[in-house]
Amino acid sequence: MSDVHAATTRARIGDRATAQGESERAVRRGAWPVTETPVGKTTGWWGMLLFIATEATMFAAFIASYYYLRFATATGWPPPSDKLPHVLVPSIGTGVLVLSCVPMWLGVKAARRGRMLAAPLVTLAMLAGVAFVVLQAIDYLQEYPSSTPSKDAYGSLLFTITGLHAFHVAIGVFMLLLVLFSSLFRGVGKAQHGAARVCAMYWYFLAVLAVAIYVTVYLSPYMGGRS
Amino acid sequence: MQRCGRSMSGLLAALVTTVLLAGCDDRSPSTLAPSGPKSDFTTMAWWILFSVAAFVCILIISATVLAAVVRRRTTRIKTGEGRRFVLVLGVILPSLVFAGTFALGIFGLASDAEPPHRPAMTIDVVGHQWWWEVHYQGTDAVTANEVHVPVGTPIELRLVTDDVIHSFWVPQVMPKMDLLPRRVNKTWVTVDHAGSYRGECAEYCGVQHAHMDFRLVAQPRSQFESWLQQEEQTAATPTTAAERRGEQFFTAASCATCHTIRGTSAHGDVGPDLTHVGSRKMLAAGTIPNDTGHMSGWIANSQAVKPGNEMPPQPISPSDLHDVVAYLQSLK
Amino acid sequence: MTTTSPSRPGTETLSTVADDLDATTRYDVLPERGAAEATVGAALDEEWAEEPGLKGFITTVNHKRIGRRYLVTAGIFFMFAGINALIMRTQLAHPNQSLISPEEYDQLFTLHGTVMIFFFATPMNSGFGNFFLPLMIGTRDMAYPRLNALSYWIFLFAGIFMLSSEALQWAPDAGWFAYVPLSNEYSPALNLDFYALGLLFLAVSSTIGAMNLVVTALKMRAPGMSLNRVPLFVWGIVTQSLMLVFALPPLDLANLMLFLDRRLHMRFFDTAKGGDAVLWQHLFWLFGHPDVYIIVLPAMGIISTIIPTFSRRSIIGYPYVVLATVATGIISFGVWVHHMFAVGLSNVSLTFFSAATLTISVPAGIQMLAWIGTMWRGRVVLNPAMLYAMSFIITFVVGGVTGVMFAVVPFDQQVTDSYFVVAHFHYVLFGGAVLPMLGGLFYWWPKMTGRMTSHAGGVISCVLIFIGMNLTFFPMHIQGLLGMPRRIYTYPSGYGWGTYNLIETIGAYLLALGFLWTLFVFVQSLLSGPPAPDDPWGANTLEWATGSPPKPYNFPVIPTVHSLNPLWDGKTLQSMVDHRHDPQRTMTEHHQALRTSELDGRIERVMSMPGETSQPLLVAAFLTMTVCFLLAGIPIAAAVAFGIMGLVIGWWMWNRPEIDEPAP
Ligand code: HEA
Ligand code: HEA
Ligand code: HEC
Ligand code: CUA
Ligand SMILES: [Cu+2]
Repeated sequence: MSDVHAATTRARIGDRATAQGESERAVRRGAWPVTETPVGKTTGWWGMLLFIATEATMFAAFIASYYYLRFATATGWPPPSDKLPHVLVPSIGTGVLVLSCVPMWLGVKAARRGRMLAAPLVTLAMLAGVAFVVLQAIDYLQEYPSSTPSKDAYGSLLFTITGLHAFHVAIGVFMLLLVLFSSLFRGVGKAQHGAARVCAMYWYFLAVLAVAIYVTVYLSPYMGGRS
Repeated sequence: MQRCGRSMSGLLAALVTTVLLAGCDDRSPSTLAPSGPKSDFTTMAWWILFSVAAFVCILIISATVLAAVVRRRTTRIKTGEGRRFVLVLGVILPSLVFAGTFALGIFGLASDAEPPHRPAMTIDVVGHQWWWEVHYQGTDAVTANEVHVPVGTPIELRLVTDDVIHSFWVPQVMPKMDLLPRRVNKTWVTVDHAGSYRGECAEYCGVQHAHMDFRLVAQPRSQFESWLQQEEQTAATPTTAAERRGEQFFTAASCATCHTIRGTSAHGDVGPDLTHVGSRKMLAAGTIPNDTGHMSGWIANSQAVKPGNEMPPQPISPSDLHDVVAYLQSLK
Repeated sequence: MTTTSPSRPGTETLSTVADDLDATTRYDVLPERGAAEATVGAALDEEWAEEPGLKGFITTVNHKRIGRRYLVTAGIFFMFAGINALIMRTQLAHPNQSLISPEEYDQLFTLHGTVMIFFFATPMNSGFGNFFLPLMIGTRDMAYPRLNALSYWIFLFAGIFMLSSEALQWAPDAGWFAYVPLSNEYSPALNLDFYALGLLFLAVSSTIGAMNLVVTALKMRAPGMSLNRVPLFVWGIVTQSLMLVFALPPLDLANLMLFLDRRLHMRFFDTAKGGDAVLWQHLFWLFGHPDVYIIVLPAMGIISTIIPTFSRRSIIGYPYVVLATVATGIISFGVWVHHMFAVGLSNVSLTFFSAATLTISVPAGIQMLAWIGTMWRGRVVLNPAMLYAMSFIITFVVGGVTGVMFAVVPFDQQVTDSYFVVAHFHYVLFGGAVLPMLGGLFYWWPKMTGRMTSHAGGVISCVLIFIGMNLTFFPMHIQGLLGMPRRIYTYPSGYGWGTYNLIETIGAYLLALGFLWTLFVFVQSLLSGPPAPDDPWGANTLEWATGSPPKPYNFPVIPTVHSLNPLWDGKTLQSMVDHRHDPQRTMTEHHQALRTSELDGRIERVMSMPGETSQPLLVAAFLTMTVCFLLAGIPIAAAVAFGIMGLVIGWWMWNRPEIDEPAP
């Protein structure tokens, strides 16, 4: 943490003349993107949008498969041999991930202006991501004896959907690590901001996804599943 | 290019003639020689669709070939956008066809949905890799690879598979219906003319998908009734010495672990019910004719006849083989 | 999109035709390009020079080299799958033959279908897209050159992975759509693991390749190329790529589930444990149907490129063709159940999907008539590329109308899984994709290689392949109507099937002869073909404003595009001369490209592009290791290889070109 601080401080001094100055001018004009010259979406932005689109489709298909199998199961949902899922830990996990969007957003805003505050904020969001993955693992320990991935389709869905999502959160954490690590050496500013912004898009996507999965996997079994 | 165009229309002409001829060939399971309301409909649909398709193809192909001929030496290139041409022909023509085709499809779906009157009986068909098990509901009759039905009356079919997906198809009588695991697909069939029709498994189901045929036999009511009565009986008691030895062998050897012969102690459920195997025309799902020679060959080494099928070769002595075949052939 | 006519106010003078009836010779070097090259060529040559030799081979990120590799690799896979088909056809030549065992036959047709669809048709389109999309939109490289190299390497390794299964006798054998449960617990050997892993592996390549093409077309078009001036081939590629982005996920998911079911005994498809076999079919066809348009749309784009050139006028109804392309892409996501009409679904869904299927014929008709109309309003020049384009129209309409027949549900239930369907899809796949690709090869060969092909050789190639194709696939219609199911390794005599099968086998050998001949024509051109001028056909699109073959930087000066037919409008080429001292257009100082706005193609900024690197190859190599370890069932090793891949990606991200970007 403190290393990051030191580095970003250095960066801030270096970048101030350009990023900071421009930023203030732009804010006065009422326009946001100062680090993009002059205007327009970057190729990175479009690339990330398409990446999110394809991932979102994949999870949408997965969630649709969940409901498809649920309504094809005549014995109630979850099947009588499985317990209803635990909700507390996943609720905390999902909450943490959703809330982490706030520091993420603030962090990107700060990076846009070349402020050193960006680094700790992004770090905070990243740690929330780590916490999410850990909480997901804890939930598995709770579900395990009653549901397992190979016991029935319910178990396969539960573990695979959440597992795939947790894996994506881990990828998100890895992306943020890269950005943070890069700013350690190169400073917060123009170069980092583009990357941070694109990673943040992915982060918000992961949070929205977490909610959809939470509702599907953890809440929906409580809704009229057991007849 | 002109040559190509000509070979194309030649092919079209060839299609019409061969298809017409083939329609008369009663040996082939041709969809164009229908013998039941369902295939009557698809045959009619085919000729309608074919006429429209031929019209569209001839229009498009001749327009293309003619363009190359007519517009090749021209010095006058038209600059206009020609959007009306695209819009009028490109939208109107397909839309008309769209409406007609859709109506035809709806009509077909509606007429296939329910039989004209209540089915006379229900037959359960269970698919296996690679043979068909047939039960007559409300009776004890169980048979394999032959589906007998009374002619001229709707019969309900309940289709399900024991392993992978298969598809039940009798081209001259009824379009396909898949057999799915743990889902019973209900459909119905009416056969208009007495006779035997080739049925096939139409969904790829593994190595012997090619040899998973059956016979759909439509018989006049009285004939059908007596056939069914016969099938309900337990196996005939052996009369000759060889047949008796054959029965003993069968029930004592491995055969009984896989096959059932009702009325004996053989109760296996892996392979086909052999209670009346002697009355079948073909063996092993249409692979070989049912006679002494073929049956002996089959039992001794079915893997040479239908490689990969689920019945292992039976290393038994020639005399035992002779007896067991004699016995099985006697099970009419 | 609405004012697409090049003759809108202020631009009426721009020509949409090329009335050069007497043009017998063409400039070796277009004078405009010559002038531009003279001014900045030397500086650009130095800046864009590539590493020679093996190192250059491994590290290149040049879209033209990658595109060429895609074409060659996909071509080799085509031959492989084609030879599989020849073996199948030999087995089927006569009834009751047993030249090969049923197991071998099953592997052959499965691999034939899988390789043709996934490793030939789709990547072949990517090859054309890679090579020509940047040239047609007037830029210097793809948006992500390194990802481009990565997607090629992954494609190559996934293809080798898939093909190696045949050598190991473990080739997938459950058909190209691998229905469960046959592909699941009933196939315990590695065969279907190769299938599931191989397709997941390939999907990585297809997805990133598609994203790359979309972003390139959105952000890197030459200034002035507003959406209504985008060539139809680019529309085809962009629609295809967007479709890939949305269609691959269901397939990936299905294969992931299949792999987990097979290896970790999960229960997605296990009907005894709450799973469902039909779920696989829905997921597969949710991908599978869009995929057939993924294959055909770029091929139609090639047709829309060839026909105007050899009709010597702009395509008619351009906006309708664009709309039809995009509409086809969208509608195709709503028709997948027409592959499942015999499954026993409810009549409501059958009716819905029957109607949805029919709607596709409207956009298809629009495109057909636009091509035919263009010929009728222009002056037709016959040469191999144009003959192939016409062969496409002729065969595609036959395949298209049988497709429409399937919309009549009971009729489909009658002919589905029979040779009638095999006839349909070869007419649309071979006629709709292979013929346009061959046309595209003849059309663009001079641009790609700098050599002309023999005219007579090309005509013979087209005639042989056209006749062979119809001989092979036309009788299949009849055979299907006569009740012959597909995917059978042998068939009985006496049903009237034998004659047709024999004709088909003869046709298949004629096709093989045609392809050998075509190969010969291309090799002969490479060895001794006359050098190609910049613009041998007097074409209308931008790729012909570059050298033959193009320089590594493509355009010495990025032109301003004035119309849909930049090479005919008389102004676009001139803009290369006019701007030859404008640093924003020449970008001689660095490895750079121009970024423009999505809709109107207004200049946004100059972007730095990455140079040669071996990272893509490394990433692909570690991904290959991951996949192989998964196949071998060593998850720890797979995780380690995957982790190392992550580190290489980290290293890669470290060198983002924008970091070293000069201050604006
Ligand atoms: C490039 C590939 C391609 C293309 C373009 C198409 C195009 C079409 N396909 Fe095909 N199809 C396949 C590849 C393709 N198909 C494959 C691979 C399979 C089998 C998979 C398997 O089982 O292994 C298949 C199977 C398949 C089925 C399932 C059959 C079955 O298994 O039972 C159906 C059913 O509706 C269908 C329909 C259509 C339709 C309506 C079109 C339409 O898009 C066609 C539109 C074109 C035209 C109609 C011609 C031009 C139009 C005009 C000239 C205007 C005037 C026309 C009219 C008025 C009709 N296709
Ligand atoms: C783009 C797609 C594509 C293409 C181009 C082809 C091309 C061909 N296809 Fe195939 N085909 C499919 C896609 C395609 N196919 C699919 C998806 C299936 C379904 C699979 C399934 O059921 O799962 C299928 C199924 C299929 C079957 C049905 C199998 C069955 O159901 O039992 C048959 C049978 O004849 C067949 C034949 C052919 C033939 C003869 C060609 C010919 O056109 C091939 C011509 C090419 C060559 C002949 C190679 C050329 C070679 C050279 C130039 C080099 C020569 C070198 C030497 C000889 C050393 N194909
Ligand atoms: C391991 C199981 C098994 C054993 C043991 C076995 N069979 Fe079979 N048998 C089968 C199966 C499965 C089939 C169906 C094969 C097919 O058509 O694909 C079959 C088919 C047959 C048929 C053809 C039936 C028909 O209607 O087509 C005959 C006859 C037959 N077996 C006789 C025997 C005899 C006699 C023995 C003992 C000597 C024997 N079987 C032992 C499994 C077995
Ligand atoms: Cu059973 Cu094919
Ligand atoms: Cu389809």
